[in-house]
Amino acid sequence: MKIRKGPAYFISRFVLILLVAATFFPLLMMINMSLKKNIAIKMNFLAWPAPWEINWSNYVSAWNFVKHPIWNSLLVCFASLFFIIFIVSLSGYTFGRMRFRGKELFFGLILFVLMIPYNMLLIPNYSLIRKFGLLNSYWALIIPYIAGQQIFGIVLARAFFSSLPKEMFDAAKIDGVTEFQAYRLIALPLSVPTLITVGITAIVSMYNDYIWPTIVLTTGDKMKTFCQIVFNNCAGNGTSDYGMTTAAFVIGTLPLLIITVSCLRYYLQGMLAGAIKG
Amino acid sequence: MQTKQWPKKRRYDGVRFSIYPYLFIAPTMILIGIFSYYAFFKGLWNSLTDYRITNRVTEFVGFENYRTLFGPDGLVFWKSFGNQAIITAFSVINAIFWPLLTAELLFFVRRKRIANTIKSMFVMPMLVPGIVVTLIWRFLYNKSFGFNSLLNTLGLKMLTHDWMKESSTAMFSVIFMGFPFVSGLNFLIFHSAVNNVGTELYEAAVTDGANSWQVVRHVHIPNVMGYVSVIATLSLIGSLSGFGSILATTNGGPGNTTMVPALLMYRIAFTDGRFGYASAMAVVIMLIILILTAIQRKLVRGDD
Repeated sequence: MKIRKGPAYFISRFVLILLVAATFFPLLMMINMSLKKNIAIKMNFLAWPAPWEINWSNYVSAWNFVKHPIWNSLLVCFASLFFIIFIVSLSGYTFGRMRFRGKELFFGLILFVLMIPYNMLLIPNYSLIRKFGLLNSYWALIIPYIAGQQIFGIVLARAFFSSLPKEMFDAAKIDGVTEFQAYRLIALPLSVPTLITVGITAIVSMYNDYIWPTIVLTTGDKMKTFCQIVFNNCAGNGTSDYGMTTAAFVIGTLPLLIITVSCLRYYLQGMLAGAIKG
Repeated sequence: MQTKQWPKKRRYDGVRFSIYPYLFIAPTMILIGIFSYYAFFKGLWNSLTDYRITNRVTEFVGFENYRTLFGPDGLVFWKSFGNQAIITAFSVINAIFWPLLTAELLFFVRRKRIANTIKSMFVMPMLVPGIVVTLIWRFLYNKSFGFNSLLNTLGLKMLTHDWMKESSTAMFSVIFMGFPFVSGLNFLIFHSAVNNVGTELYEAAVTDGANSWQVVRHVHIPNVMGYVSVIATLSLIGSLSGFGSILATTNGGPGNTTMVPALLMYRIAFTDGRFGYASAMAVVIMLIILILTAIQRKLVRGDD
């Protein structure tokens, strides 16, 4: 089976290369800018600095600028993640495997949440957090994040749990295993790849959020998340220290990159399985 | 002779009643009960009050907020729907066209290793936080460097602009931001959809003398239509309720040339502190999203 290498072949390859180049251009320019002094960015934007011209002080000041925010972001993400995984696996298992009255109704209520636009909940959730006295604390992020991020996870986990063979659980029941043991000893270990997918999806969207933190964390730079501080720093008329800002972008991207790449295989598999099953 | 006999249990509609399922889903239901359902109805209620960020006591004002919104003060809000329509139309098309095009082009790269390398090159940028990407684009649209440096190098100085601050180019800049829109989940979905059609069907078509275009037209397109419909709905909702990237770049300006309803609502709520009025806006936005998704579902009927 051979495809003729006519003009269409060359055009299609050329377009593909252009698409890759266009995708990477902004990211390459981010790294480029982070290595140069402001004056070099303005005078000679496209040139790459020679190794001895690299302005490492961008990274030093960027690190001081974002180290607390990155720590805050990671703390919030992992604290929320702990609860999300627990809640998602429990609810996913219940909806995927157990029979009980009102199951369809409860699951419908969960699905319906996806139909409520984010803007509609912004003000009431702010009022709630204020009423609980949680403004300017980590909980102001963690609790709403758990409430919001669990939905997608439950849908995915339910699809996974209901795809497990029934015989496995019947056999366990005959052996006298209780519902909770069936969940903990059989279902949970099998669902690790799915839960990794859920976890990464949640971490990515929590780490990337900057609107909600901007609303509920207002006491100063030490108590901000990473995306919030870069957003605040550039909002309005924007920053003038482009080198330092882009260096901060690079530093802040790394944690997410490391976490995700280390689980990428599971992530893509689980994501696609979920997407296709619907 | 003894037959195996299960002990008779009391049954409730064919299901033995147990407290466990309700216990297991309790955390989920309590959380969405508070942060989704209570909040949702609270939002509806707020839109009928004079609730402000500073208020100790709020008063019921009936449809006063809606009357303001439909009056002369609401003009900016309604005009911003025009901007939103342009932005949304482009973002839905971009969310489908470019990822699908790339998935198709990549499908015809038959050398597996090269195809996989290119695929991961499109996946990698997904991991850069959205706000970082948005802000880099903002820098690229800058007056003194970025795309303008590129144009100057090409000798096209007359085409340079202060892209996001001139009213003639601001809208274009917002729409074009993120080009070529490939790196994302949509690309992965199309990629696997196109490749899952199965090599047999593909080979059969090629043996019958189909050219590449015919393969795309008659083998792939019918199979991805279901995904096109889902992605269209999701990007429609995302585009209508999202305002983050505009907030971080033009902030609705210059003038109100790139203002969108959700951003205006956010500003009224958290800059002006008028929660009641902003809630009325949120309700209107939600109704429009519901109507549009319903229409769009009717139009693009996939096999889902």
